[in-house]
Amino acid sequence: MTDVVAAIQDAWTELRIHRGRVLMSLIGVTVAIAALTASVAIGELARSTLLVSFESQSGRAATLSVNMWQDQQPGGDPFAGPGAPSSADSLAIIDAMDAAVERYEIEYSSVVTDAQVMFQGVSGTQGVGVQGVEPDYALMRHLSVAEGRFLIESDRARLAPAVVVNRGMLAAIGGSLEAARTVEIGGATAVVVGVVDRGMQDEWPQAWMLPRDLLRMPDASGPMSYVNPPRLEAWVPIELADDGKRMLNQDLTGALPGWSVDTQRSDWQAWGDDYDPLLPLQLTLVGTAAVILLLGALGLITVAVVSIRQRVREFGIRRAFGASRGRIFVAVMLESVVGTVVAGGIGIAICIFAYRLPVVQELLTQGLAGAALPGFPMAAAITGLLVSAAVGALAGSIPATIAVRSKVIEAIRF
Amino acid sequence: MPLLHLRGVTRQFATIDGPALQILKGVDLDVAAHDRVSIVGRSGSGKSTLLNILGLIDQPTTGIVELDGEPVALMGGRMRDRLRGATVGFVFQQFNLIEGLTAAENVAVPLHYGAGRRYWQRHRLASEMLDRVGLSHRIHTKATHLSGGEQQRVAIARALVRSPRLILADEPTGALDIETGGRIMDLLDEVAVDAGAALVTITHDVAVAARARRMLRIVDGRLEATEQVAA
Ligand SMILES: Nc1ncnc2c1ncn2[C@@H]1O[C@H](COP(=O)(O)OP(=O)(O)O)[C@@H](O)[C@H]1O
Ligand SMILES: [Mg+2]
Repeated sequence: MTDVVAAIQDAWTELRIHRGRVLMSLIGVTVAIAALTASVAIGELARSTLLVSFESQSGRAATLSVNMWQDQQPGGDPFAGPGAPSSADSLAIIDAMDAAVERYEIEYSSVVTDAQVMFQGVSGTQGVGVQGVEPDYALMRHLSVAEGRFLIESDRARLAPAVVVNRGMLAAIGGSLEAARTVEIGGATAVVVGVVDRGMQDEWPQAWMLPRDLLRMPDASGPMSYVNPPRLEAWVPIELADDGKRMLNQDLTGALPGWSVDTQRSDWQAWGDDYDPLLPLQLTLVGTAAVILLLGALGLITVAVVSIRQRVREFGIRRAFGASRGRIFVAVMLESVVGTVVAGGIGIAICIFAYRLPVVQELLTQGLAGAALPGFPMAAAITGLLVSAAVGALAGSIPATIAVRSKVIEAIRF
Repeated sequence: MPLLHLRGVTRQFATIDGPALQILKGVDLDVAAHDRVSIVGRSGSGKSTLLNILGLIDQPTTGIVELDGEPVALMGGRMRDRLRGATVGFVFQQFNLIEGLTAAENVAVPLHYGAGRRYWQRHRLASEMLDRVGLSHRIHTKATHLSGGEQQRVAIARALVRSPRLILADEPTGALDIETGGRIMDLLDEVAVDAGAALVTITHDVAVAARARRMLRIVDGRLEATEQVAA
């Protein structure tokens, strides 16, 4: 215990004495650790924001998607394609899906339908893609509203349907929730309850309504409007994904004669266990930092080796007063470790400080309007500190080896 | 049992070309606790070589060295280092203070390699020792800013800070003027007596040597007793 404290104290004294020299050689380490920490941090941040964007596109783990299509009628034109389902068909499908969700007590789920409808904007009639979804969909796809609220359960009981619009559509109907309380859409009057703004992707009009509200629209039943039959998305615990897939498939196949049912896991994490879309990016960042660090360490070793040769007498004196070879080795190595850890700590502090700067925050949140960044990733700071210590130990072992090789009698002879 | 016991100690140094240099050719020496020994010899006669062997810094080529009856040759390196730190205090001709450290830090150096208790008390022990050698006003002065006499006082304080049983002084006055050297020798004698340590002084200065109880001379790689000249 005392040995360790004494050794660290020696190292610190030594660094204090050679402040200038050590400072010069450690600047490289500071820069490299700052770069490494920043790249790990960016990787971490990109991972968390990219994860959200991946999940908003394909669903969270595990998301089961139930798709259906009408079986070929005997004698029908095999090249005609299924065409759009009728309203009645769609309602029957939604009923069957609701029943299945209830039976299996699925906590988060949403029927999803898509339609193209016309709405009355301030500068005339315009087309918009409307998604029929249920309240859970907001949570399942990270759809957060910038203003107002998303669809809720009690919207099912409204006479005038509720609609959530995005920024692009809001601009087309008046620019603010106050100016556009209602909108003429698909031949009905809908109440605008909330606005979604996810940055770039919400430039173009888009809207969300409850699936049944969408189906009930007078002008939404034309053959051009609907693209596909309704599908069901269920967000279930990963360990229940396989059973759930099988049961939903069986249940809906039985409930809907004349329809084929296909249930698949659709979230991106189901694409493969070791599929990591960010790995190449992180490897590049870390690789770059490693090169800088290697150069910094080489500089450190050069300075340390030169100065060790000037300190041979000192080591001789210390040995004469009882220091063992091992102790000298550890002392020299610790000088290096204490130095790189302090230098690395400064580099990490610079990173954290820079991360807090408004300019940097703005730069990092580009394209994510309104998105607040999480706190500085701890993992990055810890990685930086561990790497500083490891580099110090590696770089220090070379001068330390030289230091213990010198003989006491030679060192103090003259 | 003597503190140090040497029998038939030889030391030779290999040379790059030609035969090995025979420096010590069979030294017999006993140093008892509280002993006062001085060793004289002309320059290059092997005084420092012998002192390094006495202080466990160097090993003889042949012969026996025993510390407290224990053969040094049988000890491991670490053990020797520990024993040296605990038993021996060195005073060198060139002072050999560590540059950049203050007087007190230099005095505390040996305490870094000893028992934990003394390590934690190193500041107090170091300033007490500096006080003892009359340098209480120089505690925080850098070693390099001290005069030669002051540096040697710091070196004496450092040699004594772990209460060694053996003080080895290699030409302690060699780099000082006669008057300062005389005062340094007075101090060294005094602190050695106070500490109850044996003192082996190497010198080529007969006046310095004459202070010791026993005066030995290195001649042709061997020790011989010398008649005590009246001081
Ligand atoms: N490590 C060594 N390698 C080679 N020769 C040495 C070594 N140490 C001492 N010598 C030689 O041994 C002789 C005695 O040296 P030393 O003991 O220092 O003499 P003194 O202290 O009596 O002046 C000198 O000739 C010196 O060159
Ligand atoms: Mg000498």
